[in-house]
Amino acid sequence: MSADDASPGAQPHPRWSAKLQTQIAQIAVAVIGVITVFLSAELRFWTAFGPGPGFFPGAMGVLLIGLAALWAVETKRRGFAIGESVHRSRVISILGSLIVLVVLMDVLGFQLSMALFLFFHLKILGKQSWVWTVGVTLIGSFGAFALFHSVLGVRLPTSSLAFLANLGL
Amino acid sequence: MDSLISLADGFVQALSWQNLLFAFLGCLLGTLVGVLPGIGPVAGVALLIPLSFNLDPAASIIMLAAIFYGSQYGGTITSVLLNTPGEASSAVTVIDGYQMTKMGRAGVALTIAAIGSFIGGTLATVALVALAEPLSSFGLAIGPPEFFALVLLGLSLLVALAGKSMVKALISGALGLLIAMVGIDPVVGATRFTFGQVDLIDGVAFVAVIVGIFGLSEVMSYQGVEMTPGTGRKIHRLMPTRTDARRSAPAIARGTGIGFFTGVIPGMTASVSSLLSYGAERKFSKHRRELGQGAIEGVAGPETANNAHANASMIPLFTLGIPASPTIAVLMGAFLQHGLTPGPQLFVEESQLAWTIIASLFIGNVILLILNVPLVRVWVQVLKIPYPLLSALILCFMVIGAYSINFSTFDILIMTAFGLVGLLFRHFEIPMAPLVLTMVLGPLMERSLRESLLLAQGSAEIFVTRPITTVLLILAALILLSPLFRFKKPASLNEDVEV
Repeated sequence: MSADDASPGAQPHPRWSAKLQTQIAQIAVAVIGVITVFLSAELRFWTAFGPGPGFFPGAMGVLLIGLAALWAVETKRRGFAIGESVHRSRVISILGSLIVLVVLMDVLGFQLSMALFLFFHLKILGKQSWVWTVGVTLIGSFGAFALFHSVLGVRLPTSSLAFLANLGL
Repeated sequence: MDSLISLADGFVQALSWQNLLFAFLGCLLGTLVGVLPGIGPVAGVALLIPLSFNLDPAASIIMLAAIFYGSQYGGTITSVLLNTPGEASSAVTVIDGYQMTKMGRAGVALTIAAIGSFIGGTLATVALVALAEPLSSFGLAIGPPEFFALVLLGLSLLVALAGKSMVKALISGALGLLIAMVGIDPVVGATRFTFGQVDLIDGVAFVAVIVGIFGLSEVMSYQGVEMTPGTGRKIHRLMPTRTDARRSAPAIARGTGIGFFTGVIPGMTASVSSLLSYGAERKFSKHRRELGQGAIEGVAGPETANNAHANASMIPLFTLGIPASPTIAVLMGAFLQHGLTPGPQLFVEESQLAWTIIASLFIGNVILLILNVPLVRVWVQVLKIPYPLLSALILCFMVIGAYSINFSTFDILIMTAFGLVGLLFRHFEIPMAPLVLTMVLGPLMERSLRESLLLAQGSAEIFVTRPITTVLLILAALILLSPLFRFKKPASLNEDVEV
């Protein structure tokens, strides 16, 4: 949806916000381009035999800087196009829970950390019944571990704590 | 003739119990991916790649390809029964498919979609068989400069056709190339952009990026879908009448042609083929006035087109090593993970495997036809599962898939980070398809560019002195400069959510 052609009532963001967000994104693209050019220069653009390891990424960095500028020109002509807003709390919950899961997985192992992850998503976020929560949590954690280990030969991590590892967790 | 003998040999292999089982499993999972909201074919195929590492390469690719074309049919079920497309490529089927459900003809709509999908998919695979030898011979005859120009032409088409803004598509493509460059340089072996992180020496895990950018971002941005009541409607009759068959035949023929031609062009997705097919029905069907009111042509044409497209899009991958769409790029990634390079060399080095996979495409289409109509009621039940349960299970599966790539939690973090990137792409309406394609093709493209320059001792003249290279590069330049000529692309391409 274009922020310029939507009615004010239907706007998920104020007009300046769409503009600011787009400008930040354009600057971010340009910054990635500049950093890439600098890092590529350290890798050598050219060698005695032809292009070096920094040649291709360097070219991409320059291209990104140019494209960021073109994007800015395009938005001046066409307006600021941003999509529908998302539920911020949902995004934060999912991203946060995944990061916590990664931290816990190395300590508690897959089964316990996934059980906690699924419990959080089903009971706390999803407000599902206890029967569904417990059932899906057991299947997704202990069941998945057994299935992937024995059928597909995929070894999911076990706990780094000896007493839990001894229990097969 | 050689192709037919090789195909016969491929059938012998594809009909082994193991390959049949994985084709069946792929069709089943593909239909599930098509039916379920919040997970599309790109993420669906990517998720299964790490879990198929331990399988025989043929069985693994057969299953992943079946997920792709199976998902096209899965999307139809929700379009017809629930007025909600499961996949973007079935969006247009909603118009007449749901009207047919309201008229008590849901079973007929689903059966004609299955028959059309079977005919379109099978004929496109016949074309693949016919074109495999001549196109792969061409592929074998070309050197690094021609390959570089060919890839550039394919990417130019994709960038030109993806989304509303070519600038944003180019940004996506350039970022994909940058991600592909992380790790060891393919020519001299120097490490690039690893920032001292051991996990990045082998590069950024392709599967983690795809699952994050397509799958996780979709789960995070899912707003819920208002299902139109219809789930409980009984499916009375399955078989079409003679009139239905007579009316559907021309639509299926047109859908096959449209699906085939859009399938071989990079950048054209299955949704575009079904939209074009519906447009053709509105123009050429004898019953065009009934379209929108439950006309069977409105289901037969688009559903044939999207399956013909899915199978035809294998042609550039198998013969030239160039993926035409994001899902095919993921499939190419699966080939690479198994140490196989799709393209003309595959027919030389792994001929039996290539023909086994091609034969499995025929078998997969038969499985889909047999499998789907009786299972319609089961899929409807799956749709009644509350979304929080589904999303929790999808997230669990994503975590397992990402972890299994290198048995490292680092890849789960990569997936999480790219989930956020995918969300930002959606927010700023940056198409994701160019990123996926350049990420897969980046190393091949860079190697061919640098090998070309090494051959010419650093001189770029090599790109203008070889006729095929020059023609391909001129075409790529014309496509990229097309906005200057005020070329207007079809509006349907702007709204294509698959890119």
